[in-house]
Parts: sequence; C-alpha cells; structure tokens
Amino acid sequence: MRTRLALLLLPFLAAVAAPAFAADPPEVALAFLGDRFEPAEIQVPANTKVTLKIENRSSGAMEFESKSMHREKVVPAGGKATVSIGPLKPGRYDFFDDFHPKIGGVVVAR
Amino acid sequence: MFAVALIVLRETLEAALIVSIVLAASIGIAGRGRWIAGGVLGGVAGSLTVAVFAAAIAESFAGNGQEILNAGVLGLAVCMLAWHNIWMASHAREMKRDANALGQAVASGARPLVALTLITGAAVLREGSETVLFLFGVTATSQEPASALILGGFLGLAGGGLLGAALYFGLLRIPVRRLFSVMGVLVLFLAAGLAAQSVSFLVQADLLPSLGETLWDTSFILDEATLPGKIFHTLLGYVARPSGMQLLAWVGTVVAIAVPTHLIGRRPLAIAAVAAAGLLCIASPSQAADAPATPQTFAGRTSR
Repeated sequence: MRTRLALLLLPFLAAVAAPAFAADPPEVALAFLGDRFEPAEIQVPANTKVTLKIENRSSGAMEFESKSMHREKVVPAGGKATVSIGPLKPGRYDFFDDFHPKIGGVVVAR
Repeated sequence: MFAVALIVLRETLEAALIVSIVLAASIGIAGRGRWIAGGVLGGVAGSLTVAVFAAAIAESFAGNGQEILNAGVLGLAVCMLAWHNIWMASHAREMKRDANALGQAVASGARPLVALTLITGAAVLREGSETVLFLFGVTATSQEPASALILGGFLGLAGGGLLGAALYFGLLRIPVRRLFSVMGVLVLFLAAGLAAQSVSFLVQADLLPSLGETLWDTSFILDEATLPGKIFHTLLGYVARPSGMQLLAWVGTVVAIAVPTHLIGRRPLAIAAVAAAGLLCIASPSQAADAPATPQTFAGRTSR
C-alpha cells in the first residue's frame, strides 16, 4: 500500500524537481580590477536568466550598478557576489561601478 | 578630492532630503528634535556596523543578505511613513487649532515619535553603510593624500546637508495652515518611492517576480544618475526605466496611504482602512525581511 502510494507520487515529484534542474542558469564570470571590468563586454543569451559571478580583485569596495537592468550590489574589497540578471530582451545593457562611475561595461544580449 | 565629494554627496543626498522632510512633517510634535537626532546617530552607528560586517552580510541568505537587509530597512521606513501620515491626518484638526501653541500641540494619542527615529535611522543606514564602504576603499586605493580625501568626504556631506536644509527652510515658508496637507502629499510620494526601491531589491534577490523588466524608458528626459534625477528619484520615486513590480509597489503604496488618510474624518470607515493598510504593510515587505516586531507595533497602535 505504502509502496504503491510512493510510486503514484513519483511522477509528481519528478515534475516538481525537473524544472529545478532544467532552469539552472548559465554562469558568467566578471572581475573588477580597480581600473576596469574584465571582460568589459559580456555576451549573454537573450530571454534567459544568467548568473553573474562578480569578483572584486581591487583593494577598495565596488558597487555593481545598472539602471537598465535594475541591479545594484556592493562587493567589498576582495569579495565575491552573485547577481542574477535577465531574462533580457536582445540589446545592450550598461553597468558601472557606482563608486567610480567612469568605470563600466556592457552586457550584450542576443 | 572632488570625485570623493561628489560620490559622498550623491550617497548622502537621499538621507538628507528624507531627514528634512521628516523634520518639516513633524513640526508641532514636542521633542521631535531629540528623536530625529537619535535616529540619525543610530543610523550612523548602524552604517559603521553594517560596513564592518559587509562581507558576512553579503554571504548570508544564500548570497542575498545585502538585498534582504536593504529591502527590510526600506520597508520599515515605508511602514513608519505610512503610520506617521495617517496619524497626522487623524490629528490634523487639533494640530491646526493649536498651531500657535507649538510644542504642546499634541498631548494625546499614540505619538509617532518612534516612527520619526526609525524613519531617519533607516534613511541614514540605507546609504550610510555604502558611503562608509566607499570611503574605506578610497583611502586604501587612492593616490591622493588622506587629508584631501577626508576634506572631500566632508565637502560631500556638507553639500548633502545644505540641499536638505534648503528643502527644510523652503518647506517652512509654506503657511502652517497649508503645511500639513503639503507634507501629507510629500510623505506619500516619498513612501511610495522607497517602497519601489524596496521591492526592486527583492526582485534582484529573485524573491519577487519583476513583472516586466522595463515598462518604459524616459532616461533621455531625466536620468537618475544626474543630481536633479536623484532628487526626483528620492522625493517622488522617479525611475527612468521602471519594472512592473516597481510600478505596482509605487501605486499600491500611494493607494494604501492615501485612502485611509482621505477617509480619516469618517471614523468607522477609516479604522477599517487603517487596519487594511497595516495588514498590507506587514504582508508585503516583512514577507521576506522585516523583523516582525515593528509592523506589529505599527498595526497595534494605529488601530487604537
């Protein structure tokens, strides 16, 4: 009886678990070097969620900010941060370090 | 030096504007100065603490600690502004009658003094911790001597304070009879803008859907990165490229505060509306973040 119940539940479990595996968003590494972002241009697939793995390799705090993607996150000196972006429509989305507004880069979704 | 001043100005502007609005909105409440100063000092102490533990906070809540903290701090400010506004509306008659006897104008009822402290504390904490982190970083990396950087920091702080003072003294020129209604509208939009900021952090943390990443783009008219843009962003909640969730939070907050404020003359209706607003306040930002204690006190006091 109990086994049968478990067997009956199995498809539901699979249905719940499957998207979790399927939707694991692609990761893109982004480093802040103090005077520039590396890479300064990031290519991502359009209409898909992407995870940015940001590493601050400078000796000062940095704030990853983007008005076009609605993101702002402070990354302490030597720290790491994860920022989920998208799904983005095809296009160019700028980002910058809010503490050094002249240092920035662009995310290109296609 | 000037780069430092500019960034400190930008970071402190929001807090300065909020503090001056709270100061102007609480005219007639005895002891407001002490409670607001307490909020500012608490916010500064909190900023230093948050900056020191920045890395640990960032790593908590599966890497979303910073977003949840920001959303919670902003959500708290929104609830306190809502409480303050509704409370002011319910006491508007006494306040107007006793306007010539400022200081002892309000003797009865739940006084939103704690609200004043919490609003200013939240406003200072929100941008203050970022300012501290920025200043830490700049002293570590810049080629300029520390004295120039410190001077730059003070210049930025003074600039923010000056703009705040300008707003405060501008508001004081409004005749007392009309000041309450003007402040009501200002606080309403301020709260709505902060609510939109709060949900934006929850969208970033993937705890809320964005409901459309970009509904429209008016950055070619007014960019939030500019000083006027930043002022409009703080005072009215202006966002050049709003997401659906930001718009929803803005409109929802305006309705949740304006409806009970408007109905406050009609008692039974008003109490129901205030209770509804209180529930909404507890349900929305606290869902992910707020300490439950604060919204509960809020609901308990207003329904009295």
